[in-house]
Amino acid sequence: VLTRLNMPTRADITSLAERLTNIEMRLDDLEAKLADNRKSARKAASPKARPAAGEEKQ
Amino acid sequence: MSATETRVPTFAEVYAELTKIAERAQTFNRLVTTDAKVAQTPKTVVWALNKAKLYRYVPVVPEDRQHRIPLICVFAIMNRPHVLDLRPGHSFVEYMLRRGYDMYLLDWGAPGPEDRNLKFDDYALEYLPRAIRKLKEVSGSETFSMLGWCLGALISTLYAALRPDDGLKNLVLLTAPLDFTDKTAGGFSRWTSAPTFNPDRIVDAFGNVPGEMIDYGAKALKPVENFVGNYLNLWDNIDNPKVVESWHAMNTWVRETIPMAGAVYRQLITDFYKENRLVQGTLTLRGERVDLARLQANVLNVIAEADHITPPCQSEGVMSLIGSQDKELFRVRGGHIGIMAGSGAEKTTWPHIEQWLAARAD
Repeated sequence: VLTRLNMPTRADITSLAERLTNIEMRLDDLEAKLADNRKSARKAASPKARPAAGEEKQ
Repeated sequence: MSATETRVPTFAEVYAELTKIAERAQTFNRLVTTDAKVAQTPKTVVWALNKAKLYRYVPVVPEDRQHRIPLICVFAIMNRPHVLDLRPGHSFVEYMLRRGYDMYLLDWGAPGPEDRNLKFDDYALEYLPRAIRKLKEVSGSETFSMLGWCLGALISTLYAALRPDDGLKNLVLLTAPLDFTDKTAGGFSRWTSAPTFNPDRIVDAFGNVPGEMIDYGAKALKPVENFVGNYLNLWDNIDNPKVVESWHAMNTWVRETIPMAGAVYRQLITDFYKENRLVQGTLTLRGERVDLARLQANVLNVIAEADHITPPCQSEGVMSLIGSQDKELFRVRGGHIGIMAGSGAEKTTWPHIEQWLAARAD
């Protein structure tokens, strides 16, 4: 009946919610990658990670 | 008048007594039908995925007096985690914050119909590692301690055994149902190990197992105590504000039941209660065999001696299987919830957990 009335069924809504969760997981993965990149960039920029001036010349 | 004769009360005395009873009945009705304010310790959401949320509590001691390693609490999947932060002045979270812990709480949330396929595989290897990644990012610490309670302890154990290199330093297990060798220990084991008990029929009928059904099952383990004694205890102490406040908060937590995802219920009954796969060494999550010998974190295994939900034998048997060098079994007098939320928790269980962690959290 719902389909004939062009209304979503329970299965449609459930499927949509599952897809949203999958998208959330992908966003979470992206956020994790961004955080890793930021961490690597900070490490590279920190004084300890920078090569000494003498080393740069060599 | 002889000594055996009793004095007939006056009309005023009878009226006063009836008024008192009516007032008590009103209070009783209010307490059993309303919710107390629970989980009041200030916190912020630092991560969310589907229904799950990771909270970070606002620290109450200066940073230089805080322990270096943060602590994440993982509660069961069929009740709200508020019991860890029941009410101001009687909250495990508050207790640990005051002692300098950076506290996090993982709230699994209530599964909807779209979550009916969630299994322990998802909780232990999808949600928990993601929450921990965020915890590390927020706290700035690569190592952490974890406290798991009931099925939260089971999930924590699965995670700890499958991801031993993820930075978990200390694992506190509270009333952890892990070893189902003894099929006669506890009502749940006796019921579910019967060949006629078929979890598929429940899951097929409901999708997710209704919270009310789980709550009824837990209460039916001690029916007189839960359906009668609990209320008689309230009536007997209804003029004692301390008891009333405590009862109201606990009843609020008990009333707030949430469903259990169908697939995880099926897995819990079949793989754990019926087939005891974790202890047998035949449990696999996402194709990985769960080997307790791979668990390397320091372990404090807390057992409630009068636990009718997770009888002590379901927790203590795994001590010899866990690979950790530093492991301790701590027995507490009390029940499944009472050891952490009862009036004596602040004098026994909480200090022991805090001291055990303090020696390992810097």
